[in-house]
Amino acid sequence: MSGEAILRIEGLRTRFGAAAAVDGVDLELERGRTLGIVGESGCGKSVLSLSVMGLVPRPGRVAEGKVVLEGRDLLTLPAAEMRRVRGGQVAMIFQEPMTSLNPVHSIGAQIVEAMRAHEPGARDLRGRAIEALRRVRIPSPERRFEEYPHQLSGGMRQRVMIAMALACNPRVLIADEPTTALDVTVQAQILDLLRELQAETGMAIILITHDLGVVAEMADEVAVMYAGRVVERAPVAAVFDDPQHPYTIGLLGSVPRLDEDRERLLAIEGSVPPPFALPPGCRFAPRCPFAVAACREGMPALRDIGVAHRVACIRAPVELAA
Amino acid sequence: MAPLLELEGVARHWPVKGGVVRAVDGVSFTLARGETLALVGESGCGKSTTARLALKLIEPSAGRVRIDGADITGLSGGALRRMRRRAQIIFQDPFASLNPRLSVGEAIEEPLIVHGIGDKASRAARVRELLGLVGLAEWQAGRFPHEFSGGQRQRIGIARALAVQPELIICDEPVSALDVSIQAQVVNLLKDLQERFGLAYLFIAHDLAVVKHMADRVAVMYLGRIVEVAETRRLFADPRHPYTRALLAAIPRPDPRRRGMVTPLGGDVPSPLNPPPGCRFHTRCPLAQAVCREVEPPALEVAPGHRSACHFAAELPVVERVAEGGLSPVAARRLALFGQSAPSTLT
Repeated sequence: MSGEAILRIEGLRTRFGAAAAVDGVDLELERGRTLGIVGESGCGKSVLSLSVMGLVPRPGRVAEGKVVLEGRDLLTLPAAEMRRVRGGQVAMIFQEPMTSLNPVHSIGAQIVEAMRAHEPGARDLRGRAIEALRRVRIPSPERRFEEYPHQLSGGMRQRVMIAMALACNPRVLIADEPTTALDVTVQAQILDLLRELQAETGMAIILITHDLGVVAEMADEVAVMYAGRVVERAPVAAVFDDPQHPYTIGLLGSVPRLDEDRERLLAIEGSVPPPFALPPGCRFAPRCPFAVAACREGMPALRDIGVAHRVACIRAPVELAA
Repeated sequence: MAPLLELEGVARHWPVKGGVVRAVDGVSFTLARGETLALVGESGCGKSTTARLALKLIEPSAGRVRIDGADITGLSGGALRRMRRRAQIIFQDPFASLNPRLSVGEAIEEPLIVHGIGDKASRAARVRELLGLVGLAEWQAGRFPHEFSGGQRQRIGIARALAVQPELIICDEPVSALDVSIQAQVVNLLKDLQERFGLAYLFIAHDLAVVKHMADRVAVMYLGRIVEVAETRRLFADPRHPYTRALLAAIPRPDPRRRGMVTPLGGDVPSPLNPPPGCRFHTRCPLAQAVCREVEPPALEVAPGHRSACHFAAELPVVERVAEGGLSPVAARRLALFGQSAPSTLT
């Protein structure tokens, strides 16, 4: 990490009762950079982003840790102050824009509402909302302003969500599977748009995805999560060229590729353990072909294994272990 | 010998307020025994409707569906049921297709009862065998669908489809809802079962990398029509329709060296209520000429078994063989080690 972190997550632990969905996560994010968070369902990547936003649903709660945005710990802010941060300095977009948009209000009214919440005295909100729509390359924004969510395609709806999220010029955008529900040609449009907007505004992006192709396309740094913990952190090239954690290796092998022919995919046996039934020691050990008795005894800590490359595995690199 | 499955000019039009939605509009293809044909395309292209038409789960508005040379479009009652014994279907969301009140054993036994196969004891034995075939344990027969993960539920759906020993299984986005590691397990299982039982698959998917891994041939659909069909290797190496090229160019590759090489296709899929005249793709096609707006292109054979419905199919420039990196040597070696090492038996 060279530049200065705009967002720093330290020792974050989010519990649902006794179970920790996020269990001791440290991450940092620099201005203008994109951090990809990769993992499968149940790895804690969505709870992590909700924790940053202060939106963890009951009975969940952030039990420990810090979320420091430009020097302020968001977890200690009073609710009213956090409301200003949320949608102000930190904004979020979700996988399914239709469920985040209100079907009975025009999209223009919804963008105006978001702006008014953050700037009660602001003027010409209509003009600024149309400008926001234009900024996300929505054709004829004046007409679209009056339209309702159901009149828009999935890709257009996601553009509206992005327009709304960027209305208050956030420093950090959290994008939780933003293109998963979209067709591949539309996905490419939205990824392009996010990249252009990032170049224009210098915002930092946390991109949560299960799609290694999207990560390779968008991320500068990558954190691979498994069962609530970060198991590998690296610059994007190293994750693909020099994957260290057996889970990362398994993920890479599970994905069919256009650039090679293989008879069989590498399947990771079993499935992700739920947070209330975690195995002792390394949580990946029961599915890991390289696991030894020591893996079951203690939780491996993240350790340096290369330039800005950290891995939580006592067996890495696996060719020396095998 | 007649192909196992043949669709000829099959269409399904839905009357709606203000017109007719041409969900499937004249689709023809054949599927041989033991073969996998993939139908690919974006949402709304009609691929899932085509899958249902092939089994007569919905009635075609026009055209013929033949199984083993016999027209099934007029079948009903017992004859239709006998046909379905030969052709089964699995769905994207196995949870939605499983009755929550039936135990997994009962769910797998149900098709045997419907088709009057065996007695109670032999059916119970068959259920145990099927569970083993799909990688589930016998004791799980008494469990209910909600107790299973998504990948396990898809295994249950596969066991149900296999129960009646079909020759053809229609797989409608069978792995799209699954996590990647689980997706790989199910893809491997489908391939194993195909090899073992000589199954033919009609494989509906939007993920072209999965399709490339699974299919022998690929048909690309756009707005209710097949725009290109070819043997898999050929289609990926030398696509002859601009839409196929656009789809391939839009896929982000798991390779940071190829960053920025994704080319988005502009615009959205037009409404099937009012498809564009001429070539349906002309509104988004970077190569469209005047003729494309007026004349509907016929499916031209550009090579044996390779057809493209583009006026310029034969003239498209050769796709640049972009240096496709593949895995780094280090990554490839670690993947191989992962694959060789037996799964941990520590408990």
